[in-house]
Amino acid sequence: MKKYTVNYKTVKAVGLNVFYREAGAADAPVVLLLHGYPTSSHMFRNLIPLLSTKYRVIAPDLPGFGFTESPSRKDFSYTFDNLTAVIQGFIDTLGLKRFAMYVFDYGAPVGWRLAVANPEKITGIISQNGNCYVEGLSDGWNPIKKYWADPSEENRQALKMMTTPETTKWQYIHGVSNEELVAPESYTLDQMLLDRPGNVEIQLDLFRDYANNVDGYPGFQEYFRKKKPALLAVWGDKDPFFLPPGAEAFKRDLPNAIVKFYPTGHFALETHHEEIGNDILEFLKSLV
Amino acid sequence: MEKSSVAYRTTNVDGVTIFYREAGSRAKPAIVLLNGVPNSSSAFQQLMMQLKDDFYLVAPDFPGFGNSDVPDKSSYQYTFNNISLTIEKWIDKLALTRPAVYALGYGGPIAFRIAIRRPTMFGAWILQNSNAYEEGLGPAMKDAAPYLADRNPETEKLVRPLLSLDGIKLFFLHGAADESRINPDGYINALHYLSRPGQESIQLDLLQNYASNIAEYPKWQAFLKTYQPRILLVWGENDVFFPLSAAQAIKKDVPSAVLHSYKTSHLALEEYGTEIGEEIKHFLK
Repeated sequence: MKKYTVNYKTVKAVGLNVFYREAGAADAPVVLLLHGYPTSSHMFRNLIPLLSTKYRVIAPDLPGFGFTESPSRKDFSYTFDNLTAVIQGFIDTLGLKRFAMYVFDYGAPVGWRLAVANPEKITGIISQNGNCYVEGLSDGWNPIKKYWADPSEENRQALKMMTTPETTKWQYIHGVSNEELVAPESYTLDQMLLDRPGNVEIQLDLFRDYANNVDGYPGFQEYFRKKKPALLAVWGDKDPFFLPPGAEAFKRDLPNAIVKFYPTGHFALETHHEEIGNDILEFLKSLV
Repeated sequence: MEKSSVAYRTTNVDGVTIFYREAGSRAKPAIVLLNGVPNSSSAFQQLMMQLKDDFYLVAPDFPGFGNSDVPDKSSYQYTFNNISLTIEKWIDKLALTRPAVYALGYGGPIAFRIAIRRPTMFGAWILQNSNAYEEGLGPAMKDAAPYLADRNPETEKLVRPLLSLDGIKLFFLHGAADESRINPDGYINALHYLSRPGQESIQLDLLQNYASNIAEYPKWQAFLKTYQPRILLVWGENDVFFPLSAAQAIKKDVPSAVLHSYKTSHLALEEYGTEIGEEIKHFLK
């Protein structure tokens, strides 16, 4: 099997320098990978070599994350609508006509918006702990929900605990059977990027705006029912944020959805990238 | 069964917790992978993923580096000799039988020092941008020579920038054929570890102690001439620390050594990991 080099590039989209990883043959079908909080395209470092044997894999960093330009809050309003606008600009700049998309965590609400706006481009969806149903939200969201209900400074400041080194590491190891399977560079790199001046405030803005994702669920579900995209849910079943019922719920709107669980946590790729990668390759083969 | 390609373990050696990456089955031929600045065992992450079906791979972080303990300077001597003793004990704890060694940068002096004490410890050698000859010292090492000869506030100024992001990029990017093939995660992570409190002092001590390696080069050369070990040389030829002349010098004393060079930086695995991995499979078959 041919192995493809990964390239680390930037491109200007909607005025921002967007960093992305790209691998695979230029004429192969495209798979777009959308990362979550508090990571970046770094989370796909082990999946990209698997998928790039057959596909052109493209993984951008969202503004506020990784190596994509993160403008100050006075120049850029950190909302999921705006993150989506940047990724839409990125897709347009690269001239992507059709692609499958892998969505995880924050990548999901961005991906759902993209799919609603570009249904003709979407060949299929892989949701890895990428939620679209209220029953998928765990009690872990309660402090954030409290901030939605009452956006006081006190409730905002309380969410800073979500950005500490301890929480970041916990997100990686919670639900993993053996902590020794998680690469320390994962949470180390994420934390280093969270610790950049001004980044925590950006993250607090996005915690607040996540309420708009939940409000958008019915609209996204309507897209599923109308456009019937092929969907594979691959889910770490011990994710403390997005519960297995959130994965099962896809079947309600997409009876042909395939739902697979793995005995691991939120960052399921850290421990199960080979299993998940093989299931994705199987799924992608079935797409037209 | 939870399955991962690489495990991230720790073990205790004389009170120092040594972090190491482990991949593959113990039933397969073993390779010990050694690297120091600027990025420790993380330099081998992708190579381990590539080779894990064929080998048993272990890569430690030296004391003071990466995820290993950083003992206080009052309780641990940061010298190449002392680190080589710690790593030798760590290898013994793993009970490997004649592993191959992959030595990069600071990993070379550690492997050579172990081999001087135990000449048959390693069954085969993969040397990558690591040096044992005067003529293998590149421009960046020559720039640092006044510091190695005499440490004082003036000469420290020559080497302190090596620990900054620009210095770290010298290892990753300088001489690379195509910078877009080099993952920025690597140098950002390296910066994190080298920026920790106390690191500058430890790293400057160890760098100055590199003078003790140069003093030992003749012994290592005698070892190479006498034992004629099986050697694969894989080299980033644009390395400013240990350029191709370092590999050519080894080949002069060990004519059977196989040399492959790549138009890239000190950290040749960043850009040519796949190619180097295939050479290793071929060499150790």
